Amino acid sequence: MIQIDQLNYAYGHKQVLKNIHLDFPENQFSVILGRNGCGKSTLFKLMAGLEPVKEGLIRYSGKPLSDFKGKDRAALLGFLPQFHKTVFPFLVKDVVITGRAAFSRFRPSKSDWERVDQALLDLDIEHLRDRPYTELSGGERQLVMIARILVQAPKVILLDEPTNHLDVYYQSYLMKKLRQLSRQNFTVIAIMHDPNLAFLFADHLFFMRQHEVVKPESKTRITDPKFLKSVYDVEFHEAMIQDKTIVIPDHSWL
Amino acid sequence: MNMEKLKYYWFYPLPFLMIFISLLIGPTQSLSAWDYVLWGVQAVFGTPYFDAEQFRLMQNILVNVRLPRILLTFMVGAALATAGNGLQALFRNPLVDSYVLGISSGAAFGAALALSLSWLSPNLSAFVFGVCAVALTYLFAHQKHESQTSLVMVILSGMIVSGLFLAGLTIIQYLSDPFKLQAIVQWTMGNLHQATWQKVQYAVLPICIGLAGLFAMRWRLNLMALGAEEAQAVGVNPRWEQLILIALVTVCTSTSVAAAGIISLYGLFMPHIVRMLVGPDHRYSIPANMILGGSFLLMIDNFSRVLLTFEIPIGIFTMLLGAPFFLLLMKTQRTHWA
Amino acid sequence: MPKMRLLVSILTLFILYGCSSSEQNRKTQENLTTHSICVFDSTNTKVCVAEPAQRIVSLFESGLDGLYMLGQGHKVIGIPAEVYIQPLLFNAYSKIDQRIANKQLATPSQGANATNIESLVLLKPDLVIVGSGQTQTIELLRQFGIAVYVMESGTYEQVKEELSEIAVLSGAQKRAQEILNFSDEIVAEVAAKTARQPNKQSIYYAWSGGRIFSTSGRESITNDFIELAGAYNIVQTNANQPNVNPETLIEWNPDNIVLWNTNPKLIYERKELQGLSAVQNRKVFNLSPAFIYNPHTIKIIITAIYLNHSIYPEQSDLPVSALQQRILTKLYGEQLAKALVQ
Repeated sequence: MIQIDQLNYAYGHKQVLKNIHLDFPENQFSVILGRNGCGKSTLFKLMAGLEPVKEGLIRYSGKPLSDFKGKDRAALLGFLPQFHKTVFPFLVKDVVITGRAAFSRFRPSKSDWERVDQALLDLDIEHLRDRPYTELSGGERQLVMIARILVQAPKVILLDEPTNHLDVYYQSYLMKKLRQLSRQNFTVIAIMHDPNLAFLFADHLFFMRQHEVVKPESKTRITDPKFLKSVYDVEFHEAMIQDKTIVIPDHSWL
Repeated sequence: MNMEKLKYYWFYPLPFLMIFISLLIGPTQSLSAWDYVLWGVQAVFGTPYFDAEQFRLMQNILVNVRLPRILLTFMVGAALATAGNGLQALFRNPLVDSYVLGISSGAAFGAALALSLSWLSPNLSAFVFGVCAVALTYLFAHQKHESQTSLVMVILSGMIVSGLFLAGLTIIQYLSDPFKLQAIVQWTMGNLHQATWQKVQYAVLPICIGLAGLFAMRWRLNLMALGAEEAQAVGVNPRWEQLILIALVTVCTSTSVAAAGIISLYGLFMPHIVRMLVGPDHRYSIPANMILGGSFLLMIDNFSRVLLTFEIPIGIFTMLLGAPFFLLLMKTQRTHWA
Repeated sequence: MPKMRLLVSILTLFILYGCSSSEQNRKTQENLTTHSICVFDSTNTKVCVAEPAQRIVSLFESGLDGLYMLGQGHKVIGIPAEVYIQPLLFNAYSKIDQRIANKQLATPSQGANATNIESLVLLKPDLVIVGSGQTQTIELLRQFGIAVYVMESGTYEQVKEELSEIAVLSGAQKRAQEILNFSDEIVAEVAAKTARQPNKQSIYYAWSGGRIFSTSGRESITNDFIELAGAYNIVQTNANQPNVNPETLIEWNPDNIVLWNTNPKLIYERKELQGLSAVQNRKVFNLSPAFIYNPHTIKIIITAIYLNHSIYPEQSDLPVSALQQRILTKLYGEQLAKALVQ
């Protein structure tokens, strides 16, 4: 679905992405992991089209992102930015319906409103429909923003650190929803830094370290502590719970 | 229409009521409002309450003195309030008004230049320099390597441009003789009392265009008010829409300043008042600003006409009346500011 | 903090010293003038010169005019910048003084508020005439020990008083007396003629530059010349420059409208004013060329005579222009009188 070839990017003289080569499959939930400063946010910005690609190629279904304009772009790609501060107390339904802004020029149509109701239902937040957005908790706001993307219904959904401000309930809730969405014809790609949630819910995992993509050597598990140490500079221990593997940081110094 | 919707539409008949009342009100001491009602009866039914000359005199006052002023006031009020609403959405900051882009300083400078050179029309000059100020502001703020022009930069460069034009204005005032200085100061303080049909004619087209454009964009303002990145997140490039919005706001505001001088802070607090009444959704607040903005300024102007025989610039009244009203609303309503 | 306290006390000492020294300078000026020529100006300050002034800088245009009328124009070494900048003034003064026509006289000022103190002092004047608005300039000049005469000319009485005071300071008392006696005569003539009128007419005065709804109240020089002309000001408030609502003007319906250097067409063309009796009877008068009507000088009597003859046209033995020539000749001499009216 999304192919990234030989992507290089620099801010001034500082090289932020080195020769990135990635392939994201369709209708799957992929996660990119890495430490702060490894370049994941920059990668996200380039994939979302917030910054222009200078060196390299990012292709969606074979075409570069810049070829998609207007409605086609909106039908292709939607993303969730990391911070959003809202000043005005719009009602949740009014926030969600702005997801149709690329398709309905001057006023939303009846079918647009129907989509809104469906999206709120899908995310189990219909009870928030007429509440002011500014009164919601962090988790609820995140879900509203996702409802917005659902209403837009792009093929690809990009999320930048979606679980950062959420409590445990909403973290697992969100991850569950993202996985469900990937089964409902969306391609979901998220940037995260908590490995465990990714291990539990994602289909594909990609790692970045110091501006490059790193892969474990063949036959090595991604949960292998040696590999993870090279990514995170932290000693980990593996543990199996039911059929899933998680990792915990080393605590022998306690 | 259920009670819910009433909240959004109850004020729609207000303009007609206000215009009717405003026609009856005036500083004329020998003729009262009731006399003008009788005039109306005589005009329609022919009942002879007044002799021909008195009738003509009253007609003259109604048609040539009151009506143009009422229309101009309403248009200017609507234009300033709606433009303020649009800009507050664009900047996502409820503390901006239509003058933040440097329009008022540019227009004041233009008018002062015209008044001191006396071969230039002050209103045309004010309009042109108002537009120049916005163009300069945008030019200063534009960064080539960034795809989006940061709104903080726009506000800062607006301040710079304002400062430049104010310096120019001060120089002109410094070099003017006392009479020209008086003329400049009076022009700047707001001069709705010099309304003529000619001014109405010049102002009606640009203001209608500006307001129509803002009305068409009312839903898109919701999107803009969520943020530039949030707009891009759903596949919309906000750049063109921002430019169009700024152009519409500039047309509305420059025309208002050119026709009526500088009416401070009206474009700031009126959208707030409207937002307290109908909420932040621009699909309701834009038409509300047009209607309530025009009606409220008209009401303020009526006050100033009735209170004193001599004209005091309307800017003073907008502050004296608007501020306490705004304060009252603030205290009695719960606002949901984040 | 002891260092802060020291700094603050030093600063306070400087300030106190600064305040006191200006006091001293003023006292010095007053001390040397026990046997000299003194008057009290409009700020009630004693202004003295040891002998009649020979080098006079006038930054007040009406004062400059007065000097020429008193025949002391040759003593002028500095004039206000507006004389060069405003075409009306430049035309008039070029005819009065060749040096002005050739732009030879210095102008140590830029506008009403911008006086270049240095250039002024370099001219070495022994008398400086200033308008009352320039308080800082006045302060500074007095600190230099220069005689500064502050003028206002805000009423007819004040105009007469200040003309005679300038005459005292420049040694032209006889001439001043001549002019003032003459003007009293004229005023008496006008008053006599007005007394024969059954009803006093009203005048509405509008400011120049098309601001026809900007007028003058009862406490202004405009009011004075309206009264001298034998009419009364339709504006009854004391405010100096009020703005009226067009409706109010229509309601007042003044008998006459007087404009300053503005084409009466501006009034005749206004739709809303068509009903005014002044418009219908064509009694809209324009004071032009503005120079000969300047009410802040003794020429206020020309204004009075012109208006008096215009609003009461029936009984006049001489045409207005002849009367104006008579007055101008008295003030400036025959040649100039003809030239100024063109």
